[in-house]
Amino acid sequence: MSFLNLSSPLQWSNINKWVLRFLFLFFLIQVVPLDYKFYQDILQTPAGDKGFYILFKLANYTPVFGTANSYWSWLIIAGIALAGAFLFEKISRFKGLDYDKLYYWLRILLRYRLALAAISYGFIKLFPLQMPYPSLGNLHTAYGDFLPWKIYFHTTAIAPPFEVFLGGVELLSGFLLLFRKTTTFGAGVLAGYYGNVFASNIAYSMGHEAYSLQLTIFAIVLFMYDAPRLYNLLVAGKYTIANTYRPVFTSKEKWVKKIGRPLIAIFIVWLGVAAYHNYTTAPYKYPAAKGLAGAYGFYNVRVFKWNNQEIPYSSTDLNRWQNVVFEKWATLSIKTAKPIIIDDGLGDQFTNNDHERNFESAGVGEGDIFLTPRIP
Amino acid sequence: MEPVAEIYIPGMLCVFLIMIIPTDAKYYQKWVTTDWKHLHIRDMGSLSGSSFKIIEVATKRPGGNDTGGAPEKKQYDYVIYPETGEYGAWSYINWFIAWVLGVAGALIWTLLDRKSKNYNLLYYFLEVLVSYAMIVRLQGLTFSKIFPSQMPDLALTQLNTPFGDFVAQKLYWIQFSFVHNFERYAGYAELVIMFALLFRPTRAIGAALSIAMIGVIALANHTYDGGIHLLASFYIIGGAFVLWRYLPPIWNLIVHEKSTTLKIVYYPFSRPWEKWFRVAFKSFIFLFFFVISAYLHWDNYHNDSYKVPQNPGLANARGLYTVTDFKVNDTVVPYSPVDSLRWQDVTLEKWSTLSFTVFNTFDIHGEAGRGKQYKDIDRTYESAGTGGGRRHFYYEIDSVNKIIMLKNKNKVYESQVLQLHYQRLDANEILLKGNNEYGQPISMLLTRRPKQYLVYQGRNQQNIWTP
Repeated sequence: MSFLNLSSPLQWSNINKWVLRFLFLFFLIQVVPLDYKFYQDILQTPAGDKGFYILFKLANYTPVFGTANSYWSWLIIAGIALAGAFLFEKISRFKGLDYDKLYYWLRILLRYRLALAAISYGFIKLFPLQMPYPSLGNLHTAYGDFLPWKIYFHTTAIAPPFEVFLGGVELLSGFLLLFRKTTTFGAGVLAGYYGNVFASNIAYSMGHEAYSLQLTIFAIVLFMYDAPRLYNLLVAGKYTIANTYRPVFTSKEKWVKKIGRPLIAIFIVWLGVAAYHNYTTAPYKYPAAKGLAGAYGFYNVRVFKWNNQEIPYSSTDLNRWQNVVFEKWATLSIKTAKPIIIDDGLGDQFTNNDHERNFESAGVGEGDIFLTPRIP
Repeated sequence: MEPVAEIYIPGMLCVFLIMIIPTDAKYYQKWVTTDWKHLHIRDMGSLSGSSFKIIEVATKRPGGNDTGGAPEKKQYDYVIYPETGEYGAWSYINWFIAWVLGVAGALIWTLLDRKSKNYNLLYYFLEVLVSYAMIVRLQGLTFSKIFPSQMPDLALTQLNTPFGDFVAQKLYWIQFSFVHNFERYAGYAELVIMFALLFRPTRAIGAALSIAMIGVIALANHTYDGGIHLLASFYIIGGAFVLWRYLPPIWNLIVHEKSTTLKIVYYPFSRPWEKWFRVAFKSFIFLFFFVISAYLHWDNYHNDSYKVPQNPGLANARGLYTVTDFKVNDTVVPYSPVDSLRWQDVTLEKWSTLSFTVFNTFDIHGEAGRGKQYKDIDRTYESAGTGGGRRHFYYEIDSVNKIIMLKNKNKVYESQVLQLHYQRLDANEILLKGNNEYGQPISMLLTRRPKQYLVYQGRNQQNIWTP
């Protein structure tokens, strides 16, 4: 396939045309929000402070058709794109299509889509929201009593400078994608970055496996544009002809760019401000309401009465509380010897209801019951 | 050649020669004195070079400078104890000296030799030297991840220690200890870097990947006090140096969209002996630091995983135990989470380590549980960097008299010795009787708890926590 042609510019053979049509449709359906469930979800999500929740969701649209499994959705999308790529050819309107331009628009689609994902996730690491510092209750829970994903989150979270650095890498790469000439660098870094996120999602079952793979694929497709040239220059060590394509825009396309660019810029700045505001006021994974004043801490339960009957210290009594933690926010956690069913969520949903913010109890055992008293 | 290159190349040459070429005569002796018939991964470490070091950066923390029984610890004339710790900016003091010496050397060189020189070949060979230094220093880490022994399985004691009772360094390392496929994956990534650096056409890619992967590991080491930050940081400067000359052409081609070629002069290796030398040298590096190193690490992983104690513990006794009927001086001490003498949550490992929790204050074992120790008692991956009143003892079994003799694995308390008579009542109960670390007579009944750990469970099923 001469998409990988090393020494000459891309030739639009019939096969290449077909491949491009397929790729264009395949990614178009993944990027343009067509899934009605997305809008349902947006309508059901509270806006969050400064619209943070909505903005973050808008930046991370991913379609799920029919079943809840993303991989099957991709297969369906591939089927539609396959049919579309054939039909495309039959429609006379598209006979004289400028394939260089189509490739250019495909890249624009992927560049901005990937940039939004990288920048939004970059912000929630730059302001450590995605992996917040472990709660005091979790710090007092045995290592073996966490699900793997929680260990991964907490291990990253205990080193905020490292999380900030990771966010910085995502942000910088995202910004590089906003400019055509630096796209390859941003895409190259993100291909490795999200490839790694994908691998760790598999290893620790972190729940965002398909999405991280999708972002990896976006990055790889963007990187492929210059990859043959880089191979020719660095590996083959040959004289390498630069990209010669300069897009000439119709007035309609110019308008799209004129309106699109400032919109994206405003969106990014707004998202950054909103994320910062969320981080400094009420990080979204922990309850917002303040806990009992001055009570933050780990407590030994010295005297415990059950039905007015004192139960001495015991690590095996099902009813006796063994220790209690008051968080800075309105959460109280208790250790008892009663078996509990683990909350298998990820605690990463957006909600203003403190009781539903379950990051601290998700994926963790050791008999911790979390009570979030709602303060009127 | 531009004037900047005229000072740049001699400067870099001096800096990297100082940093790479071992100045310690012992290193060269190693090539003769090594027991080649019984080659061990320990030898691979010492044959991979020694970093330039005149000043030892140490700590005054009790037990912090322990070498874990390494027999050939070099003594340094100059030792500093920086207040910011061994992992702060001061740990780069030897690098700083190397750079000062390197720059001074380069100035003298250019002053003495004022004729305009062609440094093209020098540049090329220096790039090769730095690349090979990166390969040779990486192989141990690569193969001990591919054969997961750098981060071995979690010990039971670690599974039963609260998350907040580990130091950051420990948490950083043990996050790999229950996902060995992820550890292998990281190892294969490092192997790709080693291969890319070995061959000229892929050297730029190898250098870029070095910075991206091992450079990030260097930063992580700083934020987590990881301890191998110097080794890892070498890949930032080494990688940057190798990649440097490729950057302008890449920038030209991609950003300026101008057709470009690399203007790098390679040594032609045209004479037959040069050809042979090149092939022989490369083959030697490949055979020794790829093939033999891989074999030794595989062998170590299967037979004597170097961080894991190897003496078997009490047979079929591995587990987490509830302590009941605990007596000190023949007086029963009822369970209490705040008793400074009463043991809680005893664990017995597959190997001969016994650990327990008491509510008391202790110095944390200072060193990081790294290195390739000889004796089980020095293999402290399971215990170093753990607080929370958790105590770890290595023990030897006298099966005739049913006695275990325990020694504290924490170097701060290495003089603590316990003797306990054991009696196994049934498969899950053990009676212990003897003395504690303060010489008081103690006895207790241990009952094994059936316990499943969430950390080995998936998220796509119902999981139940039991105490």
